Amino acid sequence: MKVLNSVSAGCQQLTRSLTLACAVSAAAVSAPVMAAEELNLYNWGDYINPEVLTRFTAETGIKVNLDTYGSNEEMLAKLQAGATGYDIVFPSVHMQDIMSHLKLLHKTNINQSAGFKNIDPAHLKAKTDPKGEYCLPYAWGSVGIVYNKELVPELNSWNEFFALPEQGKKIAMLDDMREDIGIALILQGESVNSVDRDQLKAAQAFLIEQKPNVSAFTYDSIPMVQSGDIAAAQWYVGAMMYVLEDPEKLAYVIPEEGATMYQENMCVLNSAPNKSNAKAFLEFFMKPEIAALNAAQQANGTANKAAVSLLPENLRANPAVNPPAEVMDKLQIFEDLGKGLKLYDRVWTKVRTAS
Amino acid sequence: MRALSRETTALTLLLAPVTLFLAIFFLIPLGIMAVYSLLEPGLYGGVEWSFYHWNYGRILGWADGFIEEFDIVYLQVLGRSMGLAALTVISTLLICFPVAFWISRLPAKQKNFFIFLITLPFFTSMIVRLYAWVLILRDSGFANQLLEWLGLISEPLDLMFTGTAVIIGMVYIFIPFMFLPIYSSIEKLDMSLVQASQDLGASPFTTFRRIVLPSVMPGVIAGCILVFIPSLGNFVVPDLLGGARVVMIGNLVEQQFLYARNWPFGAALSMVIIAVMMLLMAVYLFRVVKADSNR
Amino acid sequence: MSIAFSHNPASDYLRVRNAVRHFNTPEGGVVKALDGINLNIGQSEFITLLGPSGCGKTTLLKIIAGFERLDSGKITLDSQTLLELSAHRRPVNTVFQSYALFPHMSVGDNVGYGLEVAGVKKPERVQRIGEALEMVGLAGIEKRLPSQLSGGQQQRVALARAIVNRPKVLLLDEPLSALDRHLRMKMQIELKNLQTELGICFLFVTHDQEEALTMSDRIVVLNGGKVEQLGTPTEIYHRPASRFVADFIGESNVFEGKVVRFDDFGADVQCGELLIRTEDRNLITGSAVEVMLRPEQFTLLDSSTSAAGQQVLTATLEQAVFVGSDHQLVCRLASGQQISALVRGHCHHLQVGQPLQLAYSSADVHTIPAVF
Ligand SMILES: Nc1ncnc2c1ncn2[C@@H]1O[C@H](COP(=O)(O)OP(=O)(O)OP(=O)(O)O)[C@@H](O)[C@H]1O
Ligand SMILES: [Mg+2]
Repeated sequence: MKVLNSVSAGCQQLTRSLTLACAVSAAAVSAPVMAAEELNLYNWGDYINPEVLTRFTAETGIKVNLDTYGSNEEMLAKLQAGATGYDIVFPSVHMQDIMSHLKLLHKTNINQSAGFKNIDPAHLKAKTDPKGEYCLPYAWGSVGIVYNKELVPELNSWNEFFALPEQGKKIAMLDDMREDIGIALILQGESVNSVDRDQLKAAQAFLIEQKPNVSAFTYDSIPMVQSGDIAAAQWYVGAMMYVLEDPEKLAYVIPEEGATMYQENMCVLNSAPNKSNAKAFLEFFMKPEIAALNAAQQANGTANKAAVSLLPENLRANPAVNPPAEVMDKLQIFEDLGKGLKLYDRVWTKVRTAS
Repeated sequence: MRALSRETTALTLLLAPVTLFLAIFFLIPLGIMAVYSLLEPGLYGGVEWSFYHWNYGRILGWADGFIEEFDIVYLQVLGRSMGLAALTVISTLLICFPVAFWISRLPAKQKNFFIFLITLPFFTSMIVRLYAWVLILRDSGFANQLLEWLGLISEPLDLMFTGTAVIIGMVYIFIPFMFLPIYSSIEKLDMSLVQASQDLGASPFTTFRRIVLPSVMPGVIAGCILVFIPSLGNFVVPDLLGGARVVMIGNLVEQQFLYARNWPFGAALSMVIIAVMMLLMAVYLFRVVKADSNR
Repeated sequence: MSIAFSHNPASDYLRVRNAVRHFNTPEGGVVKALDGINLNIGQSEFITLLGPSGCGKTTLLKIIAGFERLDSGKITLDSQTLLELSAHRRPVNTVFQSYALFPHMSVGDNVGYGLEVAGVKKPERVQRIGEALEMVGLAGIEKRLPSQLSGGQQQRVALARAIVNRPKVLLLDEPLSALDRHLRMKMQIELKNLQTELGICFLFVTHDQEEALTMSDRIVVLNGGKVEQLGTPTEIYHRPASRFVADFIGESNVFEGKVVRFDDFGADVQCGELLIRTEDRNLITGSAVEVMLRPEQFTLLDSSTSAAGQQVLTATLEQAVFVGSDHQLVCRLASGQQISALVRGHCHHLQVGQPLQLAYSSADVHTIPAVF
């Protein structure tokens, strides 16, 4: 009897909790239950280790969709044109500022999360977000020179780079207005964000003078440096990925005059359909082992102090990837130019029309 | 009269969906561009809704209030793009014209095979095909390897990132657009006219000049227009094979919409391109109409 | 053959000798388009090439014009070998079946094209264009485009364009086939007059035997790439050289038989139960022949007419059709063979199934050697 009673009591309890569960899940259905299992990333092409996404899904059950873009401007234009459905984007720092002005970004308060203590405050570079209330520093790196050691035994500076064509060796620059004008400004000892007309005029003159020596303006120079068709090319630190595969042949250097640097941050959009999943992803990415997993595959820098020690030796000790402080000081990051952009546009058009 | 007006009504009704389609997908975007081209650029892309007259003046060289100097740099770009487009038209024409004649003379089986070959590139992406040319033209590429193997050269030729490479790429991309209209007009050519001309004592050359050429001319003109218009806007080829060393009008538009965040100026540039094309079409149509009324 | 030549003593202006042209078909067979053609044609003759579709008429014209080559054989025109000359050097012009007027040129430019490429100066050209157009009855339409002309007018322009060059031979490939019957008959007469006026040789291709009979000086009947017969219209009609010609030209009643008796005035031919008398004196007993009678060579006997000096057939009427002034009678002989007769006058009293007496003259009976 007792047994029977307790069984029936147990049944009652079971029924109660079942009902409760039903009610809860019903509530969840009326809120978008599907959304609770998805996360939509909008990132640069090949700019995240797929393993990171796999682990995130394994840990949280959240399915990750990845869409890619080729430039900050392309991403912005798409969002401005009304594209929705993306949760996290990866703008460069100056683009984060623009997006912040355009009120596209969601305040995540990610700096309140426990993992944020791992983030190097030096990488909170956005003017609109000095405390990291919005976005999480994702990755960074220098833009230096990748060169073929069979053709150029050693290369340390931009001046040596621009002297190569005189020795019959071909060079390539990035097909990028800011980067190319940036080098010209650096070589004159100016800021890469200068909107001074005379400084830009001088930059223009320098680039027009160099133009006959530059074989190509392209993002696709790595294969040609590998094959020797191009001796040296201005390229991102991501070139380390290829250098590490073939260290006998390729090398990457941050020129001694200084260089530009880039940094992308992970930002949650105001229009994000899955904001809580997005924040979960940012928190997931703050784990040192995850940040290290990504940086190791991407061969670029991480803002996660705790992750650096987890990196493989050849990256951790690499001055190109983790430069010493004095080199760090010579790296300049792009800021939004506001109206000054028009000057750059004119300089760039002039350079590209020059023969 | 009644029957006619009923026919017109029926025709109007039948054409309504097409017209609507054209209006929505062609005229409305065009209208938006036209309006944008007269507005002030927004600081972060987009437009400010106030009238701004600098966009067109800037194309002609006048300073836009921020950059003082008068500079016809944009007209130079337009001129260069038109030059490249014209060169592409001439090169494709010189290749396609004789080849189309040759192919039209082949037995049906071989003919179809060649037509298939010529249309084949349509089935793969242009970018992929252009990268194939990078592999061919670069210093260590197939072209130089072949020439070296044949003993014709000892040092690799400078092909990649040159004007030659750009022309090769442009010709390669646009050959089908020139070939197909010429070929179809040759196929339609009435061989009895050719025989009649010979019969009346005209030499093969005279027959070609007086009879064949006028008959295939519509195809030639259609081919020229079909090649010229997309060539004018093309910048992928100069970027990939020419190393982006020169700026085309297409680059300029892309630059304005993306990196310079100057949508109105980009829109104004596009309007100028459209105007140039319309002008060319108008000249062509005017000639056709004149020729028709002469008949 | 000796008969054919007798009408045109100077008939070696255009000579075709053993012309052979075989085509390989895609199916792997061989078409004998021309299979040993021989022709002798005079300087100002109107010659018609007549024959069923595919017999090689167009091929022959193309070879003369220079658009097709010959496998073997020889063609001379005015003692000049033609085959070495390319098409544009031959003194020959063609009127195409499709007219082939140049659509982008005015009528005047079309007609003057041959003169222009031959280097004739403008004043003379203009005058000769005017003359040629006048000749074909189209004076004053020089400025129009071919698309602004009717079919008949286009046909005439094509003609003017060819004759203005004063060719030695004018080749016409079914030039009238696209015209309606009325216009066609009118053009037949005009063409014939034009040829007489110009005095040049016309080589005219047609399917239409009536057209051939009315227009030609002589007719070449072609069949399977061979010449069946070359002769004047009357010869072709009344004395066909073969069963093929007899059947192809006009309607004919042909009886197969054997010569049973001959004398100085002719022969008797036994065709089944029928004994037919002919005045052909070249027959010998025992030879197999075919005898031919044209439908109009029969007369209908009735009680009032006598059959004196005439041969008579008895047949049963099966059908009578009124064809204008005459009646076409379809009758059946006792042997079962069907014959056709064209008789003049009132036949309304005739009834189907009634026996008829059909008379013919033994002088009209033509014999064709039977081919085994
Ligand atoms: N180019 C060719 N290749 C193969 N066979 C051909 C060719 N030209 C003609 N023939 C064949 O030769 C034969 C004669 O052709 P032709 O055109 O001379 O006939 P035709 O007498 O003009 O007939 P039609 O009255 O129908 O015009 C036909 O059987 C035709 O199929
Ligand atoms: Mg024919």
